[in-house]
Amino acid sequence: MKLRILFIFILCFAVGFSLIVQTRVTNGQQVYVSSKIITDYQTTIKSEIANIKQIEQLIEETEKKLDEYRALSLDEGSDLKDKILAEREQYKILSGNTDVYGEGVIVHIDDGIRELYEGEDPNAVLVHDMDILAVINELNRSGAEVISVNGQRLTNNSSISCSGYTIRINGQFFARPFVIRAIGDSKRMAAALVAPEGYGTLLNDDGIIFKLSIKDNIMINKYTEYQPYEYMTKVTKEE
Amino acid sequence: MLVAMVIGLVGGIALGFSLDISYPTEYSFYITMGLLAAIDSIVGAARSHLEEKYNNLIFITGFVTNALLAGCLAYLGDRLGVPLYYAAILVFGGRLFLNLAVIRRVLIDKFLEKKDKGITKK
Repeated sequence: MKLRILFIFILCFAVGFSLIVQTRVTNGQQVYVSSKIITDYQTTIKSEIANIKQIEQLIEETEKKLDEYRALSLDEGSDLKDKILAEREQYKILSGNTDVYGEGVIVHIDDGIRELYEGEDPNAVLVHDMDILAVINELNRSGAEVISVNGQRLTNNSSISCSGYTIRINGQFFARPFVIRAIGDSKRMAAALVAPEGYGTLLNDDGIIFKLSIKDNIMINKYTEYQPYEYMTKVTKEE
Repeated sequence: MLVAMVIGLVGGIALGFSLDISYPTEYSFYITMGLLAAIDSIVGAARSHLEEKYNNLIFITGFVTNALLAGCLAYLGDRLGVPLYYAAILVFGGRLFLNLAVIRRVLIDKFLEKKDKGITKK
Protein backbone atom coordinates (compact mmCIF):
# COMPACT_ATOMS: atom_id res chain seq x y z
CA MET A 1 0.00 0.00 0.00
CA LYS A 2 2.78 2.38 0.93
CA LEU A 3 4.73 1.43 -2.19
CA ARG A 4 1.69 2.11 -4.31
CA ILE A 5 1.32 5.64 -3.00
CA LEU A 6 5.04 6.24 -3.51
CA PHE A 7 4.84 5.10 -7.14
CA ILE A 8 1.83 7.22 -7.85
CA PHE A 9 3.50 10.17 -6.17
CA ILE A 10 6.66 9.79 -8.23
CA LEU A 11 4.74 9.47 -11.45
CA CYS A 12 2.51 12.43 -10.74
CA PHE A 13 5.58 14.42 -9.84
CA ALA A 14 7.19 13.47 -13.14
CA VAL A 15 4.03 14.35 -15.06
CA GLY A 16 3.76 17.79 -13.50
CA PHE A 17 7.45 18.45 -13.91
CA SER A 18 7.73 17.41 -17.54
CA LEU A 19 4.48 19.19 -18.36
CA ILE A 20 5.96 22.48 -17.24
CA VAL A 21 9.38 21.88 -18.77
CA GLN A 22 7.78 20.86 -22.04
CA THR A 23 5.51 23.90 -22.24
CA ARG A 24 8.48 26.11 -21.46
CA VAL A 25 10.66 24.59 -24.16
CA THR A 26 8.09 24.48 -26.94
CA ASN A 27 6.28 27.65 -25.86
CA GLY A 28 3.08 26.30 -27.35
CA GLN A 29 4.59 26.26 -30.80
CA GLN A 30 4.77 23.23 -33.04
CA VAL A 31 8.15 21.62 -32.59
CA TYR A 32 8.29 20.13 -36.04
CA VAL A 33 10.03 22.12 -38.74
CA SER A 34 8.27 22.48 -42.04
CA SER A 35 9.55 20.69 -45.10
CA LYS A 36 10.27 24.05 -46.69
CA ILE A 37 12.87 24.88 -44.07
CA ILE A 38 14.38 21.42 -44.41
CA THR A 39 14.76 21.79 -48.19
CA ASP A 40 16.17 25.26 -47.62
CA TYR A 41 18.83 23.87 -45.35
CA GLN A 42 19.51 20.94 -47.66
CA THR A 43 20.18 23.19 -50.64
CA THR A 44 22.34 25.45 -48.52
CA ILE A 45 24.40 22.53 -47.26
CA LYS A 46 24.75 21.09 -50.77
CA SER A 47 25.94 24.34 -52.29
CA GLU A 48 28.21 24.84 -49.29
CA ILE A 49 29.81 21.42 -49.87
CA ALA A 50 30.23 22.14 -53.59
CA ASN A 51 31.80 25.45 -52.65
CA ILE A 52 34.29 23.79 -50.33
CA LYS A 53 35.34 21.37 -53.06
CA GLN A 54 35.84 24.19 -55.51
CA ILE A 55 37.86 26.18 -53.04
CA GLU A 56 40.06 23.18 -52.34
CA GLN A 57 40.69 22.78 -56.06
CA LEU A 58 41.46 26.46 -56.35
CA ILE A 59 43.97 26.24 -53.54
CA GLU A 60 45.75 23.38 -55.29
CA GLU A 61 45.85 25.22 -58.60
CA THR A 62 47.07 28.45 -57.10
CA GLU A 63 49.78 26.67 -55.17
CA LYS A 64 51.04 25.16 -58.41
CA LYS A 65 50.99 28.56 -60.07
CA LEU A 66 52.76 30.09 -57.13
CA ASP A 67 55.55 27.55 -57.39
CA GLU A 68 55.92 28.34 -61.07
CA TYR A 69 56.11 32.06 -60.43
CA ARG A 70 58.59 31.57 -57.66
CA ALA A 71 60.84 29.64 -59.99
CA LEU A 72 60.50 32.43 -62.55
CA SER A 73 61.15 35.24 -60.11
CA LEU A 74 64.49 33.75 -59.18
CA ASP A 75 65.70 34.29 -62.76
CA GLU A 76 65.14 38.03 -63.16
CA GLY A 77 63.23 40.97 -61.71
CA SER A 78 62.61 43.98 -63.89
CA ASP A 79 60.35 47.02 -64.02
CA LEU A 80 58.42 45.63 -66.92
CA LYS A 81 57.43 42.62 -64.92
CA ASP A 82 56.24 44.75 -62.03
CA LYS A 83 54.20 46.84 -64.38
CA ILE A 84 52.63 43.81 -65.98
CA LEU A 85 51.83 42.39 -62.58
CA ALA A 86 50.22 45.64 -61.44
CA GLU A 87 48.13 45.73 -64.57
CA ARG A 88 47.18 42.15 -64.03
CA GLU A 89 46.01 42.94 -60.50
CA GLN A 90 43.85 45.74 -61.85
CA TYR A 91 42.21 43.42 -64.36
CA LYS A 92 41.76 40.82 -61.69
CA ILE A 93 39.82 43.28 -59.58
CA LEU A 94 37.66 44.31 -62.51
CA SER A 95 36.92 40.81 -63.70
CA GLY A 96 36.06 39.46 -60.29
CA ASN A 97 39.04 37.18 -59.97
CA THR A 98 40.24 38.53 -56.67
CA ASP A 99 38.75 39.35 -53.28
CA VAL A 100 38.05 43.03 -52.82
CA TYR A 101 37.06 45.24 -49.92
CA GLY A 102 35.77 48.73 -49.37
CA GLU A 103 32.93 50.82 -47.98
CA GLY A 104 29.43 49.82 -48.93
CA VAL A 105 26.12 48.39 -47.80
CA ILE A 106 24.91 44.97 -46.67
CA VAL A 107 21.29 44.15 -47.45
CA HIS A 108 19.47 41.31 -45.69
CA ILE A 109 16.34 40.07 -47.41
CA ASP A 110 14.27 37.30 -45.87
CA ASP A 111 10.79 35.82 -46.19
CA GLY A 112 8.13 37.70 -44.27
CA ILE A 113 6.83 36.28 -40.99
CA ARG A 114 3.58 38.20 -40.78
CA GLU A 115 0.20 36.47 -40.81
CA LEU A 116 -1.45 36.23 -44.20
CA TYR A 117 -4.75 37.95 -44.80
CA GLU A 118 -7.66 35.72 -45.55
CA GLY A 119 -7.32 34.34 -49.05
CA GLU A 120 -3.96 36.01 -49.57
CA ASP A 121 -1.41 34.29 -51.76
CA PRO A 122 1.56 33.21 -49.59
CA ASN A 123 3.83 34.24 -52.47
CA ALA A 124 3.26 37.80 -51.31
CA VAL A 125 5.57 37.35 -48.31
CA LEU A 126 8.23 35.21 -50.01
CA VAL A 127 11.42 36.55 -51.55
CA HIS A 128 11.53 36.05 -55.30
CA ASP A 129 14.34 36.22 -57.78
CA MET A 130 12.69 39.36 -59.14
CA ASP A 131 13.08 41.09 -55.78
CA ILE A 132 16.78 40.26 -55.68
CA LEU A 133 17.20 41.41 -59.29
CA ALA A 134 15.39 44.66 -58.58
CA VAL A 135 17.56 45.38 -55.55
CA ILE A 136 20.73 44.62 -57.53
CA ASN A 137 19.55 46.86 -60.34
CA GLU A 138 18.86 49.64 -57.86
CA LEU A 139 22.33 49.20 -56.34
CA ASN A 140 23.98 49.31 -59.75
CA ARG A 141 21.96 52.39 -60.63
CA SER A 142 23.23 54.16 -57.53
CA GLY A 143 26.86 53.47 -58.20
CA ALA A 144 27.75 50.07 -56.79
CA GLU A 145 31.14 48.96 -58.04
CA VAL A 146 30.88 45.31 -57.11
CA ILE A 147 28.02 43.20 -55.76
CA SER A 148 27.76 39.74 -54.29
CA VAL A 149 24.67 37.75 -53.31
CA ASN A 150 25.11 35.16 -50.56
CA GLY A 151 28.84 35.19 -51.27
CA GLN A 152 28.43 34.78 -55.04
CA ARG A 153 30.24 37.57 -56.82
CA LEU A 154 28.20 39.03 -59.65
CA THR A 155 30.27 39.41 -62.79
CA ASN A 156 29.51 40.45 -66.33
CA ASN A 157 27.85 37.15 -67.09
CA SER A 158 26.17 36.37 -63.81
CA SER A 159 22.61 35.16 -63.86
CA ILE A 160 19.88 35.00 -61.26
CA SER A 161 16.87 32.80 -61.75
CA CYS A 162 14.06 31.24 -59.78
CA SER A 163 14.13 27.56 -58.84
CA GLY A 164 11.23 26.78 -56.56
CA TYR A 165 11.93 27.75 -52.99
CA THR A 166 15.50 28.59 -53.87
CA ILE A 167 17.21 31.04 -56.16
CA ARG A 168 19.90 30.11 -58.62
CA ILE A 169 22.81 32.49 -58.76
CA ASN A 170 25.70 31.76 -61.13
CA GLY A 171 24.44 28.19 -61.35
CA GLN A 172 24.52 27.63 -57.58
CA PHE A 173 21.37 27.23 -55.52
CA PHE A 174 20.74 29.49 -52.56
CA ALA A 175 17.92 29.56 -50.06
CA ARG A 176 16.68 32.41 -47.92
CA PRO A 177 17.91 34.58 -46.23
CA PHE A 178 19.69 36.51 -48.93
CA VAL A 179 22.59 38.75 -48.09
CA ILE A 180 23.56 41.24 -50.77
CA ARG A 181 26.87 43.02 -50.32
CA ALA A 182 27.73 45.99 -52.47
CA ILE A 183 30.82 48.15 -52.49
CA GLY A 184 30.38 51.71 -53.64
CA ASP A 185 29.01 55.03 -52.43
CA SER A 186 27.26 53.61 -49.38
CA LYS A 187 25.13 56.65 -48.57
CA ARG A 188 23.84 56.95 -52.10
CA MET A 189 23.02 53.25 -52.32
CA ALA A 190 21.30 53.24 -48.92
CA ALA A 191 19.31 56.33 -49.81
CA ALA A 192 18.14 54.81 -53.07
CA LEU A 193 16.88 51.66 -51.37
CA VAL A 194 15.29 53.01 -48.20
CA ALA A 195 13.79 56.13 -49.72
CA PRO A 196 9.99 56.39 -49.30
CA GLU A 197 9.61 55.24 -52.90
CA GLY A 198 12.62 52.93 -52.81
CA TYR A 199 12.44 49.23 -53.44
CA GLY A 200 13.47 48.34 -49.89
CA THR A 201 10.57 50.31 -48.44
CA LEU A 202 8.28 48.63 -50.92
CA LEU A 203 9.45 45.17 -49.82
CA ASN A 204 9.06 46.08 -46.17
CA ASP A 205 5.51 47.28 -46.83
CA ASP A 206 4.75 43.93 -48.45
CA GLY A 207 5.83 42.19 -45.26
CA ILE A 208 9.16 40.91 -46.54
CA ILE A 209 12.05 41.42 -44.16
CA PHE A 210 14.47 43.96 -45.61
CA LYS A 211 17.39 45.23 -43.56
CA LEU A 212 20.13 47.51 -44.76
CA SER A 213 23.33 48.34 -42.94
CA ILE A 214 26.15 50.64 -43.96
CA LYS A 215 29.64 49.28 -43.33
CA ASP A 216 33.06 50.86 -43.71
CA ASN A 217 34.78 47.66 -44.65
CA ILE A 218 33.02 45.03 -46.67
CA MET A 219 34.81 42.00 -48.08
CA ILE A 220 33.54 40.58 -51.35
CA ASN A 221 34.85 37.21 -52.44
CA LYS A 222 36.11 36.56 -55.89
CA TYR A 223 34.15 34.71 -58.54
CA THR A 224 34.60 31.02 -57.81
CA GLU A 225 32.70 29.32 -60.60
CA TYR A 226 34.35 27.79 -63.64
CA GLN A 227 34.17 30.38 -66.39
CA PRO A 228 35.08 29.06 -69.83
CA TYR A 229 35.45 31.37 -72.82
CA GLU A 230 35.28 29.13 -75.87
CA TYR A 231 33.62 31.18 -78.55
CA MET A 232 35.00 34.66 -78.47
CA THR A 233 38.35 35.68 -79.88
CA LYS A 234 40.00 39.04 -80.08
CA VAL A 235 39.50 41.13 -83.22
CA THR A 236 42.79 42.17 -84.76
CA LYS A 237 43.18 45.50 -86.54
CA GLU A 238 44.14 44.08 -89.91
CA GLU A 239 40.71 42.61 -90.51
CA MET B 1 -3.92 8.03 -2.87
CA LEU B 2 -5.62 11.16 -4.14
CA VAL B 3 -3.57 13.25 -1.74
CA ALA B 4 -0.34 11.72 -3.06
CA MET B 5 -1.42 12.50 -6.63
CA VAL B 6 -2.23 16.13 -5.90
CA ILE B 7 0.94 16.69 -3.87
CA GLY B 8 3.02 15.05 -6.60
CA LEU B 9 1.48 17.15 -9.34
CA VAL B 10 1.81 20.40 -7.44
CA GLY B 11 5.36 19.56 -6.40
CA GLY B 12 6.33 18.67 -9.97
CA ILE B 13 4.82 21.85 -11.38
CA ALA B 14 6.53 23.93 -8.69
CA LEU B 15 9.89 22.30 -9.39
CA GLY B 16 9.38 22.76 -13.14
CA PHE B 17 8.76 26.45 -12.63
CA SER B 18 11.63 26.94 -10.20
CA LEU B 19 14.26 25.13 -12.29
CA ASP B 20 15.02 26.62 -15.65
CA ILE B 21 15.69 23.45 -17.57
CA SER B 22 15.81 23.30 -21.33
CA TYR B 23 16.75 20.51 -23.69
CA PRO B 24 17.11 20.20 -27.46
CA THR B 25 13.74 20.40 -29.15
CA GLU B 26 14.40 17.15 -31.00
CA TYR B 27 13.79 15.27 -27.77
CA SER B 28 10.62 17.07 -26.84
CA PHE B 29 8.63 14.56 -28.82
CA TYR B 30 9.93 11.66 -26.77
CA ILE B 31 9.25 13.56 -23.57
CA THR B 32 5.68 14.13 -24.70
CA MET B 33 5.36 10.42 -25.41
CA GLY B 34 6.64 9.59 -21.93
CA LEU B 35 4.27 12.14 -20.48
CA LEU B 36 1.31 10.54 -22.21
CA ALA B 37 2.38 7.08 -21.03
CA ALA B 38 2.69 8.41 -17.47
CA ILE B 39 -0.76 10.00 -17.51
CA ASP B 40 -2.20 6.80 -18.93
CA SER B 41 -0.52 4.76 -16.20
CA ILE B 42 -1.80 7.06 -13.45
CA VAL B 43 -5.39 6.88 -14.64
CA GLY B 44 -5.03 3.12 -15.10
CA ALA B 45 -3.71 2.82 -11.55
CA ALA B 46 -6.60 4.85 -10.21
CA ARG B 47 -9.02 2.57 -12.00
CA SER B 48 -7.46 -0.66 -10.75
CA HIS B 49 -7.25 0.84 -7.27
CA LEU B 50 -10.98 1.51 -7.30
CA GLU B 51 -11.65 -1.96 -8.70
CA GLU B 52 -9.33 -3.38 -6.00
CA LYS B 53 -7.20 -5.19 -8.55
CA TYR B 54 -4.12 -3.01 -8.19
CA ASN B 55 -0.68 -4.62 -8.47
CA ASN B 56 2.61 -2.77 -8.10
CA LEU B 57 4.45 -4.95 -10.58
CA ILE B 58 1.80 -4.55 -13.27
CA PHE B 59 1.75 -0.81 -12.71
CA ILE B 60 5.51 -0.27 -13.01
CA THR B 61 6.11 -2.70 -15.88
CA GLY B 62 3.09 -1.31 -17.70
CA PHE B 63 4.42 2.21 -17.47
CA VAL B 64 7.96 1.32 -18.54
CA THR B 65 6.98 -0.87 -21.50
CA ASN B 66 4.33 1.57 -22.72
CA ALA B 67 6.72 4.49 -22.57
CA LEU B 68 9.44 2.48 -24.32
CA LEU B 69 7.10 1.32 -27.08
CA ALA B 70 5.80 4.86 -27.61
CA GLY B 71 9.35 6.18 -27.80
CA CYS B 72 10.37 3.44 -30.22
CA LEU B 73 7.36 4.15 -32.43
CA ALA B 74 8.14 7.85 -32.48
CA TYR B 75 11.76 7.13 -33.37
CA LEU B 76 10.84 4.60 -36.04
CA GLY B 77 8.30 7.04 -37.47
CA ASP B 78 11.00 9.70 -37.60
CA ARG B 79 13.29 7.36 -39.52
CA LEU B 80 10.63 6.13 -41.91
CA GLY B 81 8.95 9.46 -42.44
CA VAL B 82 5.60 8.01 -41.41
CA PRO B 83 3.97 9.46 -38.29
CA LEU B 84 3.80 6.18 -36.36
CA TYR B 85 3.46 8.05 -33.05
CA TYR B 86 -0.20 8.53 -33.97
CA ALA B 87 -0.69 4.92 -32.92
CA ALA B 88 0.63 5.67 -29.44
CA ILE B 89 -1.37 8.89 -29.13
CA LEU B 90 -4.57 7.16 -30.23
CA VAL B 91 -4.12 4.20 -27.90
CA PHE B 92 -3.15 6.30 -24.89
CA GLY B 93 -5.87 8.83 -25.55
CA GLY B 94 -8.51 6.19 -26.11
CA ARG B 95 -7.51 4.34 -22.97
CA LEU B 96 -7.62 7.54 -20.95
CA PHE B 97 -11.26 8.04 -21.84
CA LEU B 98 -12.06 4.36 -21.31
CA ASN B 99 -10.43 4.29 -17.86
CA LEU B 100 -12.14 7.53 -16.93
CA ALA B 101 -15.49 6.02 -17.91
CA VAL B 102 -14.80 2.95 -15.76
CA ILE B 103 -13.74 5.13 -12.82
CA ARG B 104 -16.92 7.15 -13.16
CA ARG B 105 -19.06 4.04 -13.21
CA VAL B 106 -17.35 2.55 -10.16
CA LEU B 107 -17.73 5.80 -8.25
CA ILE B 108 -21.40 6.11 -9.20
CA ASP B 109 -21.99 2.49 -8.17
CA LYS B 110 -20.39 3.14 -4.80
CA PHE B 111 -22.40 6.29 -4.36
CA LEU B 112 -25.64 4.50 -5.18
CA GLU B 113 -24.78 1.65 -2.82
CA LYS B 114 -24.27 4.14 -0.01
CA LYS B 115 -27.55 5.80 -0.82
CA ASP B 116 -29.36 2.44 -0.86
CA LYS B 117 -27.87 1.52 2.46
CA GLY B 118 -28.96 4.88 3.83
CA ILE B 119 -32.49 4.23 2.60
CA THR B 120 -32.64 0.69 4.05
CA LYS B 121 -31.30 1.96 7.36
CA LYS B 122 -34.14 4.39 7.52
